[in-house]
Formats: sequence, C-alpha cells, structure tokens
Amino acid sequence: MYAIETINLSKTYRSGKKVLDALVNLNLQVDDGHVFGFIGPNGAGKTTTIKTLIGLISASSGEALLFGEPAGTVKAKSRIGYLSEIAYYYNFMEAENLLHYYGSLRGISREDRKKRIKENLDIVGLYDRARTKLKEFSKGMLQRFGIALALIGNPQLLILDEPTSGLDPIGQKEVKDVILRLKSRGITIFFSSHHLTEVERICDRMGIIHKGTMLECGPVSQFLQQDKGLFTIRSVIDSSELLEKLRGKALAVEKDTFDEKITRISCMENELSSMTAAIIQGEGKILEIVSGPGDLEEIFFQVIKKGEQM
Amino acid sequence: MNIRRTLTIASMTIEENLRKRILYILLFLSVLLVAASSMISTFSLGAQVTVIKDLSLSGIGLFGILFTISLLLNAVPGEIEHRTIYPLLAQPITRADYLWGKFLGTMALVTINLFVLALELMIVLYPYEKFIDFAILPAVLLIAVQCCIVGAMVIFFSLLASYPLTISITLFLFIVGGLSTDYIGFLFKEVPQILAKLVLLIKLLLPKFDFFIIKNAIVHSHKVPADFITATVLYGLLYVVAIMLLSEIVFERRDL
Repeated sequence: MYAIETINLSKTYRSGKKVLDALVNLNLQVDDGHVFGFIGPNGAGKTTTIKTLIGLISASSGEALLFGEPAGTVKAKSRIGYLSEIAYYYNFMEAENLLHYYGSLRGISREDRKKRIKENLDIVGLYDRARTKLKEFSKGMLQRFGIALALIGNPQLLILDEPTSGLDPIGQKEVKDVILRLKSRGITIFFSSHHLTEVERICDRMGIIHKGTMLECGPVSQFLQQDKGLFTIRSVIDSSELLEKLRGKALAVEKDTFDEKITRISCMENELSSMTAAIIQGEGKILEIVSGPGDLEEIFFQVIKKGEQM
Repeated sequence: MNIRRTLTIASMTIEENLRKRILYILLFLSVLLVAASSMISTFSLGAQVTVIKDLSLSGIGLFGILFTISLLLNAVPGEIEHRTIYPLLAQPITRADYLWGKFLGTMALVTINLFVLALELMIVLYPYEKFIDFAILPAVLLIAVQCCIVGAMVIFFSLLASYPLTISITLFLFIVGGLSTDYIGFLFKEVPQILAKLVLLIKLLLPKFDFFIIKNAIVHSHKVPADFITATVLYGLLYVVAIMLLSEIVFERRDL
C-alpha cells in the first residue's frame, strides 16, 4: 500500500466561461518511508494536488488515496500532518495553547499532549518559545511551529507545501534541518518546492509536474545520473560561424536559461576534446565544463522544456 | 458530526469571539439600554414596570440579533479569507464538525450575553416589583432560540454571498418571517401579484418569528404556558437543524 496514490486525478476550475485544467490525469505513488520532492513551476498544479490530498478541494475526476483511504476523510487525515505554504494560525494564541487545541481535536489526552508538545517544540527548536504568542514569531519560526503542529498527531505522513517559501536563507536552513531530522526518524515526507538544491539534498525520490501533468518521476539519483557520459561546456561565443560549426557536431547548442550571453554545448565524452579545440580556435571563451547535463536545476528545465514541446 | 470535536471547536470559537471589540461595544450599549429603561420609565407614572419590561425586552431582542449577525457574519468566510481554516480542516475533523462548532460556540456566547441582560433586567425590576421576576427568563430563552435561527441563516448565506448581501437577505427574511400573512397581503397590494405571491411563498417556508416574541404577555404579567415555551423551543431548534444541514451541504461541496 502506498502512503500516497493518485489515479488519473484531474481538477478543472471553471469561472464563467473560463476553464482551467489544474490537474490532468495525475498518477503519483509515494512509498511509505520515503521523502518525495514534488517540483514544478508556479501554477503547475502542486498546491492543487496537495489541497486535494488534504481534502480542501474535491477532484473533478480520478482518485486520491492516503494509505488506501480516500483523501479528505477523517480516517485518512488522522494519519497525516500538513504544513501550508504560508503559516496561517490564530496569531493571538500562544504556541503551546494552539498545539493543545489541535491535539485535543485529534482526541489526544492532556497528559499525552503535554509530552508531545514538549517533544515537537524541541524538534523544531522552539521549546523556549512555548509561551510566546504566535504574532511575535518570525516567518521562519512560524514555519517551524507549523511543522511542530503537523507532528502533533504522530503522523505517518507529513505533507509540506513549499515549506521554505518566502524565508530568508537562515530560515530556509532551519526548516531544512528540521526536515532532515524528521527524515532520519523514518517519517514519510511529501513536499513541494521550488528549491531544487533542497530536493537534491533531502529527497529520495522526486516528481516533476507541469501544467497539471506528471512529466517525470523517479529516484533523485536516477535523475542526476541519467545522462552519464554527457558533458556540458558553458562558453561565451560571439561568432555565428563557430556556432553553426558546433551545431553540426554537438548534441545540443542552446542559450543558458539564466544568462543569454552564455551558450551551453552538450556533447559526449569522446567528442569533448575536439569541441573544446574548436571553441578555442574560433576565439570562443570556455567558462566551465561539467559532467552530465549540469545540476538538478538544469535537468528540471530540460524536463519542463520537453513537456512544453509535447 | 462528532460531539467532542465540535465542542472543542466551539470552545475555541468562544475564545476567538471574546477578542472581538464589537462584542464589548454591543454588550455595553445593551447593558446601558436596560439600565436606561428604568430612567425613561419615570416619565410614565404608574406604568413603570410595564415600560421597563417593554423597552428592555425589545432592546434585548434587537441586541440579540445584532450580536448574532456581527459575530457570525465572518465566522466562516473570515477563516477562509485568512486561511486559518487550512490547517484546521487538515485535522481529522469533518466540515460539519467545523460548521457546528463555529455556530454553537458563537450562539453559546450570544445566549450568555442575553441572560446577562435578563439578569440585569431582573435587578432593575426588583425595586419596583419587590420580587425576582423569573418570568423574564422564558422570554429571553425564546429570544435566544430566535437568534439561533437567525444565526443559522447567517452561516448559510455567508457561505454563498458577500457580507452586505448576507446581512440584507437575513434581515429581509427575519422581517418577512415576523409579519402576518394578512399584513404582507396589505403591504404588497400595489405591487405585481407574482411578487406578492413569491413573498408569501417565502413566508410559508420561514419560521413564524412572532411565536418567539412573548413580550406582551410578560409585560402584562400574563402566564405563558410551559407547553408553549417547550413547543416553540423545539419548533425553533428544528429550523436551526434544517438550515444548518443545508449549510453543511453547501460547505461540503465548496473548494477552499
């Protein structure tokens, strides 16, 4: 049984004559005990998927199951903890009291709640702020508090919607560290993110979603090794003649995603020396040679580009 | 609906409402009105008790409706707008637990306020009557039930319409529900018949709010039979359950 399973999950939003397919036959499986990174550009359908899993929105068609139970039911929700992109809590309350409230909603006895609140606030490093009102918390502290809150029911699955979004680097690191701590405890974690380095560092598996469709899904290591033997030369080339010449030889010649002045040339290992020689002879400037297609970020852009062409 | 979860949400709703300034403003004004009724009654020699009861019970009824509308109007839409509903509904609760919790918590607070005013009225009346007038209590109880019906209507319409529209529709229905059929016929005799018939149809579906006003009997110290009180309370609660069930259906289908 999967911790998360979606079968041909679709969601269509209608507003007057406007129709938006937020999810199109999304099929997703997350095994128990894994940390799954769910990545995609803005508007790809990440939050819609998560909201469907929580039961905040209903699917137009298809199924979403959590541990075999239909998503959104009390039984399914009793096994999960959820953290939304931006923390929305009753900010007039003290951290400890809000945790008591959520704990009592789950039917946890007062004694157990006390124990768990201490434990969870310890995990997220906020134990000394237990009696502080949430309105006095920083964004990063609120996100960490959100994780403590998501853990109150001892969930088997944590669903985190862009947990580091909008945080400064220190806040991001703190949240990442908490997730890593939870990973070491064997909790299944499903989280959406824009930060690919975060996914690379934390996740076992990842899925790339675009326009409501899962483009690729698999172990992170597989994504990183899928183009073994491939090299990417990042260079500055002004001569159009040289570019034409390279296009004839290389697997791909394209502008860098972030800097248009930079040209990325992909070639196999056996052609690397002839390529570099051609660039130098043509008065091009080699900036960097990397093994594989680059980092996860570049893989992500390639997958998205492939998806756009489909 | 699960009682434990609903009551937990209700107690949090009370805590939330206790932080709203409007509650204290309305409470202050209503306490002032009941107290002032004693002073106003000095102008009506010989009929002071009648004037105090009349003014105060009318005031309690009016402030009950104001308490209910002001506290419930954004109870659910406010949480949707501020998204505090997300982590809450991600807990193992149903939407019905949430809706009933919000409703019961608010109505419990409104009822407490109404009985505080009833107690104040009993204190104000004591120097004139020289006994504790417990007859006030059933009148306030029926006002509370009436407020519960209005509260359920506010919850229902707030799930479908904007704040001004919710207030307008609720007040329109409250007024139409309190009018007699003959009076509606009289009021609408100049307008197209189809409109008059539509209003009469709405009136048929609405609770008869005049059942809940026993002010005249109390003012004139007539005894109101306990059977009538019990039947009216049950009649009102039936409407509350029916409207809340409709709200549940609407809320269950809503994407958040």
